[in-house]
Amino acid sequence: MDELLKDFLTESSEQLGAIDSQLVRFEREPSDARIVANIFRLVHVIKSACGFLNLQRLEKVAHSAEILLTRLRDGASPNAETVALMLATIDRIKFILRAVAEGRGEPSGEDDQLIAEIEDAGDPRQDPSQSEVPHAASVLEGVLGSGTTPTERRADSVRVTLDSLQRLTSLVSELVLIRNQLVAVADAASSDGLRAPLRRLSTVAADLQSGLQAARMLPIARLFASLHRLVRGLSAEMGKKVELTLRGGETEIDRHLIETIRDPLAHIIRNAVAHGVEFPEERRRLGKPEVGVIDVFARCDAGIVSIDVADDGRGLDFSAIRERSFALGLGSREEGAALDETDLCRIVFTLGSSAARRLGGVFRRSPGLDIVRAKLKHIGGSASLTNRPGLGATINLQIPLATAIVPAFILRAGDERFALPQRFVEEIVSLDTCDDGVLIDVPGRLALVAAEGIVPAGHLHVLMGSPSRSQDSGADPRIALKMRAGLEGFALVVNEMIEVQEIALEPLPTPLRQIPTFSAAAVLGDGSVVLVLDPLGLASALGLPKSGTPRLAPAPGIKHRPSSTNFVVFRSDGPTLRTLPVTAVVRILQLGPAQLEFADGECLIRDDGRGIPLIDIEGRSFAGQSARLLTALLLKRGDDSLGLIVDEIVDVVEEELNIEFPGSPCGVLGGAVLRGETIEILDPLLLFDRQKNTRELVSAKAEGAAVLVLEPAGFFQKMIAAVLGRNGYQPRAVGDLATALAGLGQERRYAVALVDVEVAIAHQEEIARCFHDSAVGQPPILIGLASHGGPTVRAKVQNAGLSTVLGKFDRASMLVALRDALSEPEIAA
Amino acid sequence: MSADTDQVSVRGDTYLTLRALDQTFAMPIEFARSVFKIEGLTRVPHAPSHLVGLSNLRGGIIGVVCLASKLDPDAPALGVGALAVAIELGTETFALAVQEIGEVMHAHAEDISAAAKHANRWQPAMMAGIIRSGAKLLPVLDPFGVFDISPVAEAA
Repeated sequence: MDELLKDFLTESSEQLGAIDSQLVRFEREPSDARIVANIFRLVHVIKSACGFLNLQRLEKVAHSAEILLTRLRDGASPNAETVALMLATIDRIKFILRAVAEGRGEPSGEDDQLIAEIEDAGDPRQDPSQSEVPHAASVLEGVLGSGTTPTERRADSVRVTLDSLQRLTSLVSELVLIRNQLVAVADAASSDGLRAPLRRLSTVAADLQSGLQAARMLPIARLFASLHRLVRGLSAEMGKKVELTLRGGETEIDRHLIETIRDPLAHIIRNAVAHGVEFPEERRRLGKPEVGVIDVFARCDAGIVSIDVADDGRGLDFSAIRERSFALGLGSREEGAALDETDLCRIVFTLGSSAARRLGGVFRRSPGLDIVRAKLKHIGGSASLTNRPGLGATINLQIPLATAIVPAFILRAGDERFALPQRFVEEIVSLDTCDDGVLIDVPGRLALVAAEGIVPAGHLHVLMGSPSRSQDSGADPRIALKMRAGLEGFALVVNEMIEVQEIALEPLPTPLRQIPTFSAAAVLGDGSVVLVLDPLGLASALGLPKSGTPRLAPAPGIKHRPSSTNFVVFRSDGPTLRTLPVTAVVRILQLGPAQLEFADGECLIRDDGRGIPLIDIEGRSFAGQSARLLTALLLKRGDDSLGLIVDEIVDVVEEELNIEFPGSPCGVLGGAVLRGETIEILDPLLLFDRQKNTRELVSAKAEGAAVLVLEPAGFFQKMIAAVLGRNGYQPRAVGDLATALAGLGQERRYAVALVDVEVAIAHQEEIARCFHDSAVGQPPILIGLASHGGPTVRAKVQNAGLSTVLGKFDRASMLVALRDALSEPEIAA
Repeated sequence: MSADTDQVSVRGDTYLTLRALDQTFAMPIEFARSVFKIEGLTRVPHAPSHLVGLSNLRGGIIGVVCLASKLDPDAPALGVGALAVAIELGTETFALAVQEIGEVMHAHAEDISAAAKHANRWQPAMMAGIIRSGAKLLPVLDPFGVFDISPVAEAA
């Protein structure tokens, strides 16, 4: 095709895009002569070139448009018919241009009817050909300002085809790749001589890259230009009144991306007109202005262009979304009912061409929001929705400024390398030491506990099914990368962060594009290929809900619910579950034997030069520990710190725990039932108090003291005997009173008997006497043990001769009570 | 790329012969761009087993399919060091890793017949026809079928 014709077509298509928005503005502001002047200028430029290029049909139609515009300039009142006629004329011009662009030349056809309508719409005698030249000149002068001709204005710019820019971009990508290769070679050779020129090359490559990127940028107003007409046509078709406001048109975005988001944006606006904005009578009834407003606001922030499309309509119909989700088989009605607003706003993006098909033609020709999201994902962007019931909805699109070359972390997982674009990473947490964060392994899932809270986590090598390798050895440091996929934060655990490299993103081969965990591939400096990770896909692989995932059931993992509290659930020894509020835990420490210090019978760890006492709720000793790592929860109270040893962290839950039985002054706040299991809630403040008396819990006289345990349940027999045994006592556990009494009658002397309160209640009056009569020598002090303590139980057993009643789980109180009992002078005697 | 327009037609032309699973196959030579030895391969997690990885071919990233694994999922996959043919399908280039690359052969249209579905032990989607070469029958590979490229591959 003739170069001149090519230029003309490109220029004309840009000008026609601008005319659309100018016409709608003109309809709203008919008195604004400047707008008429703009439109006239654009049409005139097209018409002027037609004669030169021998496009006769186009020239005729453009000439008719000029006639219409001349009348308007001369004061004719614009009306809907005039604007419609003008739009039809512009459409005809576009139709002819399209055929010419496709190489078919001017299409055959008659425009006489259109031209006749234009002539009928005003004074047919007026011939603009007589006045257009002076008129056009005066209009152009008015628009451009005197002393500047269009040619002069264009002199400082050249037209470059997108293909040429694309070619340059590819070359710059290649240059960056070669630079990376050279850096790798220089590093391998430890060549100092190469470093200075390489630095210079890096600077030049970066400048070239940013310069080229700037050349690819276009104001987003180009995208906005067609929206006015869309809203105008759609609202007229549906009988609605809608005003479109566009802000931030000067925001710049890559030309290629403009084309990619054109359809999604148009679809969202169609949705807003069709579903969001109410009919005028309904708006009046609701006390809203008759004319609904759709506001499109673009802005750029940190390499991301954000576009909000907000309407002041009715907002989302959650019940319809639930119903639609159910109809699509995404979950049961009960699951649907359990979804909160955030979940529902997310699900909207999964429903395909939505429930609003009934609204007719508009939706039959538009894709669903799922396609909107897919298109955005393809360019590394995302979409989200916020809803204000009755007041409107806002869809936010996040689009990267450019996609070609991005700085990325090169990560190692197992023996494989992957790339993760830097902009996705919110925080890097080192797991080498306990300073930053710690991974909690809970059955079936992993969580990262860091200063800012707890997020679900996943090992990249597991997600990638990497060949097995010793992941947890000390020589293989791990790093967690915190990122976000939609609303959900999560952490990715990798073995090593090798480097940060600028990578040129290449699309994946077609058969691999359905794998959700990767968005692209890239060639590294050493010539190898890496896969580029996609956070949304990773979140999905971790089982987290992501916008776009068709799941209804609330996701597993840690989910924020403001009304409940996060608890760390752990075991210290034996089967009993214990918990502490997460807020009480400053850090989770992994301690090797070398980190433990022993002073004055106390075990300490060092933190910032200070010795922090380490306690075990069971009173176990850590001296002579084997080489295994200990896990401890680091607690703080004012300036005091305390490490609480745990055997296993079971879970992190977000629950409302109701204390169902009271605790003790030795650290247990109370007991509760969590998912059918009894759980002890520890009180961090009481733990501090208890720590001060730890060494006093077991008196010297405990050594070897015999304790009888009368407990019918085998589980508690075992548990209590284990606690006593570890603390230097000699326990004997029996299941019934007769056996207990038989034991008393033998040679052995028991200083204390721990008696299940149910047994005590059953033998209310006689139990103290029985023990008294059966014992050889001094009868034992009786201490009651209850599953559920409290005043009621105490009242029931007040006649049983028990010195006190303790919770069976409250081993600390048990040890204190035993110590006190053994300290009694008469026992010692 | 439009697979509609690039569909393999068995009309008699020049073919490149390839060996996999100790059998010789033919492929229309118009799709072949170069022959190379696989120097490096990046495994793609979650990819089908016959797609053995991604390789860097003169600065471009290409997907490498092992023909043997594609034909028989139980066959051991070829990897680094294997020979491969770079195959261009529309705008994309792939590589086909094979046991051996044979000669270029010519076949007349009358020697070629459509792949008989029942007589063919390989998946019909991968076969474009059969060349009768003397007493031998050479299955003709359909590169679109081998690389799972279809006109609707890119739904999103």
